[in-house]
Amino acid sequence: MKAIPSMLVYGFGNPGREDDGAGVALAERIRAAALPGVTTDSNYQLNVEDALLLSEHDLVIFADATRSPVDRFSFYRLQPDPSVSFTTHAMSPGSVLALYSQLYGKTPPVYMLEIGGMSFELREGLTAEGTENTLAAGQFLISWLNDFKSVKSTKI
Amino acid sequence: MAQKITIEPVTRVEGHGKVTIHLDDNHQVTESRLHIVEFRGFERFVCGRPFWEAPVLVQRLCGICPVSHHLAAAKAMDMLVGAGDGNGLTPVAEKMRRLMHYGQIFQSHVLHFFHLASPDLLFGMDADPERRNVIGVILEHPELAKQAVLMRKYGQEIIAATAGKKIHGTGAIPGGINKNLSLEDRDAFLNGINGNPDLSADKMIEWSEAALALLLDYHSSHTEFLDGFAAFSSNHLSLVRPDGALDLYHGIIRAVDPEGKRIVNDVDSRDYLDVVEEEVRSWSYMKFPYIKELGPKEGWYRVGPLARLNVCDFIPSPKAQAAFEQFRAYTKGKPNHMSMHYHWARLIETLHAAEMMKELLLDPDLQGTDLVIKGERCGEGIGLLEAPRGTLFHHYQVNEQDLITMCNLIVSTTNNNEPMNRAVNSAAVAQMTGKAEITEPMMNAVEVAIRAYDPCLSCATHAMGQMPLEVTLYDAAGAVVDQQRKGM
Repeated sequence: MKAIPSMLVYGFGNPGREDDGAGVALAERIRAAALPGVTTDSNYQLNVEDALLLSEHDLVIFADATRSPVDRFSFYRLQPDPSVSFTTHAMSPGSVLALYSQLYGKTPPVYMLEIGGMSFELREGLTAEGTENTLAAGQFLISWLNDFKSVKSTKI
Repeated sequence: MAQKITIEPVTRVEGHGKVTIHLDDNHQVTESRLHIVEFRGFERFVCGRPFWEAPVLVQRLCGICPVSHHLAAAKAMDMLVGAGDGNGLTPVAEKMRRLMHYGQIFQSHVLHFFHLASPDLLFGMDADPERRNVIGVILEHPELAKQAVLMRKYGQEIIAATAGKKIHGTGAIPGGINKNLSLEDRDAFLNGINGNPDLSADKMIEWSEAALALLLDYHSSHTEFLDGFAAFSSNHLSLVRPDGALDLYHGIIRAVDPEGKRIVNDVDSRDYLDVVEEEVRSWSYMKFPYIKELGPKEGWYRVGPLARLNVCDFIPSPKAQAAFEQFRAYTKGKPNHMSMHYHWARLIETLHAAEMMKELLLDPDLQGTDLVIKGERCGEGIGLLEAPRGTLFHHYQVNEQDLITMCNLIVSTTNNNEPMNRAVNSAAVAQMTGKAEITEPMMNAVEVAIRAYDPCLSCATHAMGQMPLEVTLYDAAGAVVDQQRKGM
């Protein structure tokens, strides 16, 4: 019998600031899809304790809004970012990965899904373009997770 | 040649701030300021919304301090629905909120000490910036770093269990709480989350004591730095329990002058407008609160851990009380004015929070079922509490349609505006006076002074963002003569 890998989709951002909530909205969409083996979580931002999440899953996908120009969304394998000379109360996804790698000597598969945002003002709900981008990113991710699960299940 | 130095924005704090330091022709510091350069008007965002939404809405103000805003707004809503002013709730409601609050205090203080402060303390303000960060701490002190991660995790799990979820928690509602604590959760927090004994209440107390011991050990070998850096006299303000105990959730307003004499004598928190006023200055969007009776020049004050330990008479948990007695003895019972001793006070409060979490978890009231109380509805609600960074004021007025018509927030960081400006000036004078060249360690020293207050400019400015650093030197004519950028 094939084991299903444990996959986490972690959206972060502030839903009270328009498209800043895109990552959280995406996590909600993935949760609603009820994919086997996939759990979701969300928070305003990442912090040191989120490194522990990486030890609890076979795959972690961080989802966040981005101001950078992207074609709806961007998806890539995350690399540890040890350059945290100047930090805030929050941590970047790369720094969380670096923290985990330093603490536990491993670099698990972690991906970043960046969703294009248009406006980040104090207002509830995504913009129309933010909504479209989140939907497109969700469709892509559901398909990608199903593929990952198929490939990974044969190896576990 | 006269110079103007700009540190913009300030790193390791949230929001948009910058520091300017003016040097005259003899390289003497003539003026230093912490500017807040962005304001988004959160109060207006709340107006027009139904009052019962406030405890959830205000969490959007800040991703750093959502629990503090959630609880302060809920306390104000208690008053609106006739459930008292923070002390009229059912036992389960008040104790669940207190547990949530101590979880927040615990995780926030832990983050500040290990993530933001310890790199400067463990490696020195003038250490290589590539090493002076949390990764550097991990490399040289891996066990300490693992403890910090697990302590943060514990506090976050307490919040999730009491507030309901990480984003837009709904635990506190007008007049009470929407759930009690399950026996399963209680046992997990007492004995170890997911069966991990390192995530237990006793371990949190043990590691809090160890963190405090670490700081005291550092103090013994760096006494001059911790005692002298950015030290200056001030008034101190906080809430205290009516019997003078440290109480972070609810109390009366008390303030002491630099000698320890009471200048605000145990005022009901609903009368805060009789005590505090705010001054607007043209160069910053962040207001400058002061004690009304003393005026803006003499009435400014500190809030937060240092102020709280200067104002209260005792701490109602045994290990923290012992640490408090040592803290007070150090200044012979007089108020402690040393900015770097915020770290000391913060770790005593961390220990207190750990002790209080265990005490509450052992209290069977947390499994009570009488969750909400309501009385006669009125049109105004005021909620104050001691957030991790200091006293937090929430004030609302509501019309007959239950819509909020007025919202006034004075956040902890705003209360510390004048002290942070003075800390910046003190550090700048000490580090830069007479120096022809401004170096990275000098700039970091200014930030160390600000960081001691653990400001959350996200709350103060209602903005969230990355914090690159830019330092610019201007000559008297305004031309750039030197510029350093980091993290941009």
